Amino acid sequence: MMEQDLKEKVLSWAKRKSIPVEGEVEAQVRKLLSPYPFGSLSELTQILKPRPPYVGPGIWLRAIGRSPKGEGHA
Amino acid sequence: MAFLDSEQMIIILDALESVTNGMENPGLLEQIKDIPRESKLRPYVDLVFALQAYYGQYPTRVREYLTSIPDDSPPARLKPLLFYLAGLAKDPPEGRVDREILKALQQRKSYLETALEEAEQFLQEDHEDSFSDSIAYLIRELYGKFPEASKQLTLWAWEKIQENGWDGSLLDAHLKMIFGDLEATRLKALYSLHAGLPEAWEEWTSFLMKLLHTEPRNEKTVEASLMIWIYAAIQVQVDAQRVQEVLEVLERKYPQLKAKYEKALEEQTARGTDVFVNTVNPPVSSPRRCASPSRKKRDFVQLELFPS
Repeated sequence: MMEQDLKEKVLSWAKRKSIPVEGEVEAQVRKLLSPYPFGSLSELTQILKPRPPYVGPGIWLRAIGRSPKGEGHA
Repeated sequence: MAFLDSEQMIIILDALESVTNGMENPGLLEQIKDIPRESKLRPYVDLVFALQAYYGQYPTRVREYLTSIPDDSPPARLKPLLFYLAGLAKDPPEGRVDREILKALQQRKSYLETALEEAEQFLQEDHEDSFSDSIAYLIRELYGKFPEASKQLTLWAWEKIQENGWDGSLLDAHLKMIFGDLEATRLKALYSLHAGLPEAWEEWTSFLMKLLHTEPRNEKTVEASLMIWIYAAIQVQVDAQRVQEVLEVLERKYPQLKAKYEKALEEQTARGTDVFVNTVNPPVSSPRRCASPSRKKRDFVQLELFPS
């Protein structure tokens, strides 16, 4: 398994070596060492799924005991 | 139960209709979002926003809204199903209505899911070129809408190339087309750093050199890259000639940066506790050459980067 804290390792190393790290440089270190690799491809699967089909409100409303338009709804 | 027929309820039902028929109405959602938590209508509002998050494919938000719905309220009847649909529960609920909704929502696989399955199959069958083509296709397709995920997939692909002892040149060529030379080089070096590979320093050196030759360049980015380069350098034996190449460019383009880090390194060397060597280590061009299981047990040799 890959390391999970590379950014912190680099920054804490710099601190130990008394290398002054400006805020913007720290931000750049974090950016350059991003992103983390996927731990597993299941993280990706959710992204790849197609958008679900729109089936309208009726089916959802019936499931919670409402008629599609509701009483008193024109 | 008059509240269920109130004007507010009608607006909530209209909002629900808009998120489930594909014609989302931001005005309606705005009107209902501040209905107070103590209101008996609030579970219906949370259901509307849970459905909106489900259609928008934001599972974390689906969870947040569903968790807010009290279990004894009518909208709670949809909680198990929505947890399942958002990928937050393993098994689907078995109710008749649940099955009816599942059938209505039945999805075919997306072409990207199919491409990923193909890539995994090529991986199992040890077909590097087909794997590289499939993964590169996925990375390219993802890049526009999900740039971070496409880069995470890139790092995953490099991991698989390494694990299989493959050459990686085809994937490398694809990635340079997708991300450009500089970013593709950074991602490859980043994978090596994450994995603690011996070639990480050489690959980060390639990235740094390309960065130094790219104009215009943010000096803070150069400084951060230099810091990471030094971090990578102190953990492996490095090619002294490559070090000199970097330092010469640095001296020419960013003399103040070189001076800043020279001082920091001189302080480091003054402790006299480190062993300084300038050891030539042949650059590693192929991950195959670094597949030794003992690669993480390397010597910790520090390097005088700025000899006087």
